[in-house]
Amino acid sequence: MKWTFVLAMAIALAGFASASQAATPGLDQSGKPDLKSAGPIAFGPDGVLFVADPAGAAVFAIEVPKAKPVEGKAGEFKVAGVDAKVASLLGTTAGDILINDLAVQPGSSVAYLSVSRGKGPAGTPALVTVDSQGAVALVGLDKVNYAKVALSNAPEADAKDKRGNSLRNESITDLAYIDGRVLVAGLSNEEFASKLRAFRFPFGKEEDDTSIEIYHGAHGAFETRAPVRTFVPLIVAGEPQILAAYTCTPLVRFPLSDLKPGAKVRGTTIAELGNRNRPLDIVSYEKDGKTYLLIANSARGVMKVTTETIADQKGITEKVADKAGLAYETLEALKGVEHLDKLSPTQALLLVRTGDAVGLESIQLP
Amino acid sequence: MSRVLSAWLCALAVLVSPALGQTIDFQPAEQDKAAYFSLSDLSPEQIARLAKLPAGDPAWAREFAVYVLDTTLVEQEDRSKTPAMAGDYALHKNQLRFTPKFPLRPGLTYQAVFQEKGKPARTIEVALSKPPAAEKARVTQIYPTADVLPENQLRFYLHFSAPMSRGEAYDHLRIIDEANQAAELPILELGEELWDKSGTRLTILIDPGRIKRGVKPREDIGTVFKAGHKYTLAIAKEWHDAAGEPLAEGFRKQFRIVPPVGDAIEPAEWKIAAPKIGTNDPLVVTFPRPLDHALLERTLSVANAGGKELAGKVKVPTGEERWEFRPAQPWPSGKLELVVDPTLEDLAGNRIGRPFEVLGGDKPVGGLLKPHRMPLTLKQ
Repeated sequence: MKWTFVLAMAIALAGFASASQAATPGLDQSGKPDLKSAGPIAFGPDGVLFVADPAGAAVFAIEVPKAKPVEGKAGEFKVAGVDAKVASLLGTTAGDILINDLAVQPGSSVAYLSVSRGKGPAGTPALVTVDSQGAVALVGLDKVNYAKVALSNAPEADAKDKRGNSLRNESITDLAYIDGRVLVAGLSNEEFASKLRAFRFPFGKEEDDTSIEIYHGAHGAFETRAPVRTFVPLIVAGEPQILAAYTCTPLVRFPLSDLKPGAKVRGTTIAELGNRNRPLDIVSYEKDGKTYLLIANSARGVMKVTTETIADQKGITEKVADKAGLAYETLEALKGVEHLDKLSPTQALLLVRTGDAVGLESIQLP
Repeated sequence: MSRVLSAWLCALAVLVSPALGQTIDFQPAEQDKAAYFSLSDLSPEQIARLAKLPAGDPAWAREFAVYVLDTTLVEQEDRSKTPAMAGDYALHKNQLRFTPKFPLRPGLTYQAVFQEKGKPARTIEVALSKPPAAEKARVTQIYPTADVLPENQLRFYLHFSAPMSRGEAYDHLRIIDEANQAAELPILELGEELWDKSGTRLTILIDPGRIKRGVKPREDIGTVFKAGHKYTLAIAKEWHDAAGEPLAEGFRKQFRIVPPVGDAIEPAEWKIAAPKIGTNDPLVVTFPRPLDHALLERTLSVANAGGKELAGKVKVPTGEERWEFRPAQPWPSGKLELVVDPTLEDLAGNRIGRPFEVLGGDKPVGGLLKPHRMPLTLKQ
């Protein structure tokens, strides 16, 4: 009886202690993050939102308000003119903003957009939420718990930091959280280099971070540097893998375990998406016990790719006719999709541009 | 060409709806203080009611809010569907103040609305005049400057006289052949666009999928450029600068294509014209073929025996076939080295020790991981 009482007290004290705990694990700063731009975004553990800041050459982990949890199906989205709404919220017109990325808060019906208010170099970053009713709200960043990690320049460029640094810049094409690490894909605006960085989260010392060059091996065995334009983490046969789309189009995979300092990473080509394809965004999902990829593709609509044979894929090393590797089908009706994310186990959320209008709409995962 | 918004902020209150009681005002931005809208002469019960509201509660905006008046806004008539501008509310004695989260935009009109329950809404409109039009932006230079380029030309740098808008670059760029046909998707289109921090230099990449051998797009449609033919890189004047104005005029660069360059850069082939010790004469390095302009500007330097970099001025003359360095102090005696960063590339992306495309994959990375160092012998 006595022990039960002690245990109850201990639990109560622990509950009290955690209620008064300020930060989510890994968020060691409090205040206003010095965000210079808001580029690709992705959710991590415990509702932390990772925000890539290419202008500031940094990645932030920001605590965002917990949303009402949604069980199963989320609300249907059909928000027309989402750019006009976001612009109105930011006190300007739709022609004055850029919507950079979309991420749905897991388990909720809340979509996050990373936005630039102003299209020039002096544009102000903003994070905005949109719900299925079309209500938009600004994510307050004046006093939040957050963490920040700097993206160091290539070791070679560091030496030349004083000269020419203002011109050389790295764009961040994508980021994702997997297996305790934040992966960031970048592309320089000068040398042709593909940089994939892996940071431990909670962010630690620089030695924990890895910066890797990614290569592509084409048919005829020519090997080149291969910038990654979008990627998605995926567990294949129990092992974490990265599925990436290169700027030269193949869809490749490589194991997360390959990302070690000094390693030479060469993706195994698992699908040739064909020419005139510009893969913009990829998500993975489960349906009827199988895993699929949904790829937003500016030229060809949205593609649904099977992943059943990924583990077996030896890689495409020979010339092939149009469709090769993993089987895929194209949902041609879904044109103009610029960003997508999973909304619920059965739905995806798409940011679609048709002409001048930008809308946020949900679809059943195909 | 800077446009300091607060300096040009010139507010004209256009319309105040007549009524007794509370007045709506606009206070323009001053030095350190942001602009704000105010609702004055609140009654004690209004103050009491508002004081109870937590910060960020939607009820604040239902009473008093500011909107952008924009004729293209969807559902503008139904204000309940138009998002109000984000901002902070505060009570100052009997005045309610709304401070917008973001600076008001010159050239736009804002409407502050006070909606008392059961009474008609009262509004004021504030129109911010646009600053006087600055000189229109123009393309000042395209690199490489040469008008003979290799078939596997990888990259162009477009320089502008003023910061530009993001988001529309690829709409205004075309590569046109001799038959006046525009190529289909010749340029790699990235949502991010590859601008420098000042927004005045854009890097464009020819679609690597159509350059790399053995890659599907090249096998299906072929290369963008073909040796023996002429092309034009055309920039349309409809491209908007950061202030939303189009360019003063378009720009065209014409060039002739020769066979591809697939060899690594060979520093042993460089000619170095060494200056005299004690002078400030330039060190001139001449390359057998043009190199990348941006990388030439920053990947070469001169270091002394201790590895310390010499201060001085770098010049890359037109054609990008030479690198000139004039030291800040007279050339010292003693060991000097020309230091070359491994990221130096030529027009096709070939580096020292590693061509853009390497045959035979499962070899070590190849190329340089550390700077290339070449001893310099100065004249006595």
